[in-house]
Amino acid sequence: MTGRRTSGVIFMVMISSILSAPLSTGHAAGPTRDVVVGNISAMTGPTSGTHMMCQSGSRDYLNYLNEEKGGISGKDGKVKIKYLAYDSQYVAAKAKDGFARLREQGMDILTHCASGHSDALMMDYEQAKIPLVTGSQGVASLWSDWSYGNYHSGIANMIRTWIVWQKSEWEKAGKPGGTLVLGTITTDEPYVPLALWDVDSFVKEQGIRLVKETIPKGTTDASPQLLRLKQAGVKQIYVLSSANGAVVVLQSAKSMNLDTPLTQCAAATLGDVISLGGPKLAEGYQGEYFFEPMSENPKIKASAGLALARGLWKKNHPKESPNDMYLNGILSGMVIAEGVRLALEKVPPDKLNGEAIKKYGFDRISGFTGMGLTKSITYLPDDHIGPKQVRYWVVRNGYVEPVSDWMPTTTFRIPKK
Amino acid sequence: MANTSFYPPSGIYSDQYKKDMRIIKTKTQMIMSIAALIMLFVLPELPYVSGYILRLIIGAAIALIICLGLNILTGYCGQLNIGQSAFVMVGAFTSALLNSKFGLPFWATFILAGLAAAAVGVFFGIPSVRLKGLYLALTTLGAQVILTWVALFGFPITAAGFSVDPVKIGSIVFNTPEKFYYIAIPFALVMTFFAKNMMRSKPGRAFIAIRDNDKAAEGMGIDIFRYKLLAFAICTFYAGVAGSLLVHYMMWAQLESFTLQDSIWYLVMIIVGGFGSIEGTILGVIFITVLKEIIFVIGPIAEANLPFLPMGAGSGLLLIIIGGMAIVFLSVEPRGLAHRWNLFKAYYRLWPFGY
Amino acid sequence: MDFILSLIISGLMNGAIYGLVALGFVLIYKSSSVLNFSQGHMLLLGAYIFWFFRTAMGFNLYLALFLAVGVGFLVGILIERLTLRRLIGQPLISMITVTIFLSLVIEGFVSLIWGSYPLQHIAIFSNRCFNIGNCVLTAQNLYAFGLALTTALALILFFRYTNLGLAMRGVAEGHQTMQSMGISVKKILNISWGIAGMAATIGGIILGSTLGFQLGLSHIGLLAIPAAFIGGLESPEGAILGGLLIGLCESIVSGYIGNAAGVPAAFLILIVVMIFKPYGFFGLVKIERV
Repeated sequence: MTGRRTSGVIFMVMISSILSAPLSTGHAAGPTRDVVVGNISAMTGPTSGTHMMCQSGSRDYLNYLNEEKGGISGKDGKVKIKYLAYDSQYVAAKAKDGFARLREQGMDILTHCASGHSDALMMDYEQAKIPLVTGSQGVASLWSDWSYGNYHSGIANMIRTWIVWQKSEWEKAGKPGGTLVLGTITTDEPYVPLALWDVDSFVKEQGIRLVKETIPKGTTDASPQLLRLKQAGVKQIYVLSSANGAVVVLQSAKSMNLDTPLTQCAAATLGDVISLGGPKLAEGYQGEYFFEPMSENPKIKASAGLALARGLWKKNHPKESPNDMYLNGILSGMVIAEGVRLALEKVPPDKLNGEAIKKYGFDRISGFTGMGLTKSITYLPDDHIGPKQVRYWVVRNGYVEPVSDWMPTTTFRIPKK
Repeated sequence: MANTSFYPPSGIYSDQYKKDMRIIKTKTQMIMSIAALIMLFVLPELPYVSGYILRLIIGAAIALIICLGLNILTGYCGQLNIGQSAFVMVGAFTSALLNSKFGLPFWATFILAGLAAAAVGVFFGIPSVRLKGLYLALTTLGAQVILTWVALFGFPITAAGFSVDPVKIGSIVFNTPEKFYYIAIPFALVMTFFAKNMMRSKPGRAFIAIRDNDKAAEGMGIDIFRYKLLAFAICTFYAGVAGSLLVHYMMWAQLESFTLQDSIWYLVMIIVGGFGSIEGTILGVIFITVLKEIIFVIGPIAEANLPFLPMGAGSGLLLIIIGGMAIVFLSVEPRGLAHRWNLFKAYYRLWPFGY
Repeated sequence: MDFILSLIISGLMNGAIYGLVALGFVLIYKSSSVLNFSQGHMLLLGAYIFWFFRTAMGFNLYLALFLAVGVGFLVGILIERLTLRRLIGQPLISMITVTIFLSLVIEGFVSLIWGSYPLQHIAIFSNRCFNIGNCVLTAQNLYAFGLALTTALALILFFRYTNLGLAMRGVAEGHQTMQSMGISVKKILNISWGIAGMAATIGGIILGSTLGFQLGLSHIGLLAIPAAFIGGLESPEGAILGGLLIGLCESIVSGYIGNAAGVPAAFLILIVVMIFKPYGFFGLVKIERV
């Protein structure tokens, strides 16, 4: 008897909690209208760490605006931001469900930092006329008029920009060796074929040689592949993997006493690698950043934006060590706030909706730096890529220092469909 | 396993085998079935039902088709299959690629998708001639891994995802949940009917015989290899059709929708629902869909309201609760919801003489 | 020549770790006939517990290792008592589902206490390396390999020559028979899950120091499954050999074909092996009677 009752009770509890969920639709009505920002991230599953950081960043920043400044001020009054989130469990179907749910709750702006979701939701947000502010636009949504990036310039441009940088450095050094030979080592993650899309013709155009190696994802040793790269005489190696793969590559490189410099692609940040592998292992490791890193380097003065971000981190996550993807979230939050602010200059708060914010807000963003966090974001009618500027940094003594100046990224886009 | 599902109410008897085998035996059952069908068809019109609930139902309907196939192979025929979502993927990408490259509409591609998946399924079913039980499960796990790799490296665009046309009948375009509901539900109904029908006919009995004791079945003259392959084919056909439905519903085909996690969830659905029972599949799908919804809705709320815990704690707490409840449920009722439901029906029918 | 040699070495090293995880599978299967899908997560938990003792509590390295392995043993017993105990006698498939849900619970637990973001690194092994021609063996590789082999050897001897080992093998054959012989099945199950927990913890510590302490550690469970099966699910020596074989295969295929064809190729080899040897190389062949 107990068995039947227990399972019956559990079942009833579940059904009633689900059926009560639709009751909480709509947003608060009041004298100031809330702008509803929706976030769909994978909060459970393998990528949850990064997604949660981003979500936390944008949420903390927007809450900060609500609390400290009373919202975003415009011509006719202040507007507060209401932040809602759903767990997509890293599944496209659930992400679409989440979008529908957020729509019902009056979402005006969508944000997240996952390329897969950007593309899967493209049809939804375009149809619903809701702008997307994201760290990663994916492949198809790079072309979309409704998505606004604030991070990298597209998956396929990570290695291209790096190649351009390497080539210019090599030319400055007087073209030693005749032909430039570069290498890349990748893990078998799904985005890798996209990152290397048509890279062979690019490499041919540039007149250099690129040697490609792959390592299986769960491996603990990359030395065979590194050995082959070394024997091919590569001058620098680009690591196309997440932080775990990077740590494995670094360990193998160290054990082989490989002195070829390695550079991390934007799929992970140097901060991640330092925390995962330790500062000694990451010494000399290069990486790309599209904003200022969280690393508290005493030699570098933090911009106002970075100081604010660090303060928010300390306040909201006092017991954890700071993380770069948090900044990505903060930057998304800042772009959203800027868009709303600009829109409020032209449109009264009660007429604000996704379309208005896009037209009068995001489309007018020009030269935005997020209080110094990133170089400069300008959105043009056919170009919502983002800052389109990158800077390379290197790990020294556990801190991150610049090893190049800001430079423009390539803007190749994988053909739609 | 005592089959409590053939417990007709007292006073009902059959004088012909044909009548005994009927799915609907009494007038009450007939009335309730018709009422249920009517309810299903007018559901979107009811005032309380939002687009979101319809999305859930469509998701459940597609999962139902997948799980029906899986239950036929694993529940009725006893061949454990941990790679079901890979076969769904085969059907999905066949349909999506045919649509995207050749412009074929859904109505042409869903059959092809099912057949393609069935062909692949039979191929991976061939080891069943020598392997049993857990060892066979491993080949299906291998199917999952191998097919995923083939999809990724054969067609790189699947990683990024690409768009797929919605289903059309004449001039009606089924691109919203409200409209697609009327595609998903009929498909689910038809597939359920086929499954139920199949299982009470000769192949169904052969499957059950193979599951219970395949040496004895072979001794009775059942060609077990042929029937095992048939079970694989049916299971993966269902998966393929469901995959085709899925991509035309989402209007998006992407590799990340078909992972090992999903395979495991499908297996969990049929286990919670009850092995070897069509009603059980339905119950199991509903139960697990509800479970996942809880994670989906409450996780972020927990996350936002528990800032003093490390990041991810809210969802973590939820996973513990959900997993814990499910484990308790399975300890208490390992034969699944279908068995509970049958006990309930038996109790109701035998009252006050139930024991 | 260099390349193939370094591939082989790399493969063997990886394989040792797969073998260690596979040992855990085999142990649990041998005594309770359950395929423990949460083995990878037990490894994750073990790794995080070690991190806790070392970083959060700041203990000495050896003390932390000792404590972590001890706690791993207790966790194994705890899991067995709480979940599997109720399911004795139920069909195999329910037990497997319970382990699947268990993996969710463990993941949730780990996220709850330590968050879902990767944890700070711990250095365990020294940086000494040995050179074989152009190829390198790190101290860590050797430790992992050595540890996996010693554990396997210890288990093989344990199963064959000690009374407790004999009892465990008996319990795998039939619980009722053992009970009628006066052996406490509960105690045996406890111990075998405890040892599996310990093995998982050791594997977790080794992997954690390489791949970092993050949630992705549980994915090793996936590749350890074919390792356990190829060797035969009832055989510890088979588990290690299977692990080494899978590691080698993955490494060589990835090295020559690239595109990370290693994992699918490992499974393909598994399927081929299984067709010729349905119970794995050293597994017990089930004689079927009607």
